[in-house]
Amino acid sequence: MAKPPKRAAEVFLNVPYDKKFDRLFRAYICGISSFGLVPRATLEIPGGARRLDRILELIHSCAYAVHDLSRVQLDAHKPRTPRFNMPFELGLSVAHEKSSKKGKHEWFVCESMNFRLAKSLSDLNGTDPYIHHGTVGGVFTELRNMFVRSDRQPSVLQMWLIYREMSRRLPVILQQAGSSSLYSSRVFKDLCVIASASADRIVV
Amino acid sequence: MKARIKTRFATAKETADVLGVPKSRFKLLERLSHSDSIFKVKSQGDSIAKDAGSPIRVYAEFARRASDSAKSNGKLGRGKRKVTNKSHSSRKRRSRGKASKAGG
Repeated sequence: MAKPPKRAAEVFLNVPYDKKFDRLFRAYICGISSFGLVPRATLEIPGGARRLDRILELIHSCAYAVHDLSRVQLDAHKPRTPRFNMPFELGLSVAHEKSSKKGKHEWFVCESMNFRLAKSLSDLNGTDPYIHHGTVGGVFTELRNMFVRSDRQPSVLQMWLIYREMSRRLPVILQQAGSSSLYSSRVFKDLCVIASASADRIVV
Repeated sequence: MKARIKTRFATAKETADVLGVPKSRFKLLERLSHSDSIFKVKSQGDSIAKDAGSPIRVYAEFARRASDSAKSNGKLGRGKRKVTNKSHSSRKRRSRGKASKAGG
C-alpha cells in the first residue's frame, strides 16, 4: 500500500518588514501558498529574551527558506543603518542546512538587481540568486524557478489570481486586526490562511 | 536548482493549524475567503464563465478582461500626461468674446 503523503511543508520567509515591500511581501505569501506550502516568518514570534532561540526553532521546523536580500539600503530613521536581520537569518539557515541531513533544509536567495549580491555578500559567490526585479510578477516567476510539484503545479496566472483575491480582502483583514501594517503576527497569519484557501480552490 | 515538493498540498485548515490560528478565527477567515470570490461567476452564470467554458479558460478570460478594463479606465503610467481632446480657452479670452458681442 502506498504511503500517505507527508504533511504540508513549511517555508521560512525572510523578507524586510518595510512599507515599500508590501506588494512583494503579499506576492511571496501568495506564491508560496500556491505551491501548497505554509509560509512562516519571524513576525509570528513575540519579542523577548528568547527571540533568537525561537527564530532558530522556526528555521529548523521549515523544509525550505526563502531569503530576500533586495533591501540593502540604509533606513530612513536616524541613526541610519542597514538591517542586518536578513543576512543574519540567512546565515542561520545555511548553518542549519550544513549541519542537517542532505535535503532536509534547502535555502534560496532572492535579489532585485543582478550582480549586487556579489558585492553585498561576497561569501555567497557561486550561489545564483533569484532575481525578481522588484516586481510581483518577478517574484512569481522566481518561485516557479525554485519549486516544482509533480501534482498541482501552479501557473503564474493562478498566482496572480490568488494575489488578487487576497488583495481584495486585505482592507477587511487590516480593519479586523486594527492595524494599518501587514507586518503584525495576526495580519500575517490571516493573509496566509486566506491565500491558502484561495490556492486550494484555484490551483487544480 | 529546483526543489521538488513531495509533501501534501496544504489546505487552509492545515495552514491555520500550523500557524496556530484559533478555530473561531479560522471559520471567519474561511467565510471571508469564500465571500465575493471571483470564481463565483461560474455558479452565477456570469458571461465570463459562459464565454470561457473550462475553469482554466475562465481564469484566462478573467485576467484578459481585468487588464482590458484597467487599460480602458485610462490609468496613467509614470511620466505620462493626461491628454484631453477639448482645450479650454482662458477666462480672459472668453470675456473678450462677451465684450465684443456686447459692443457689436
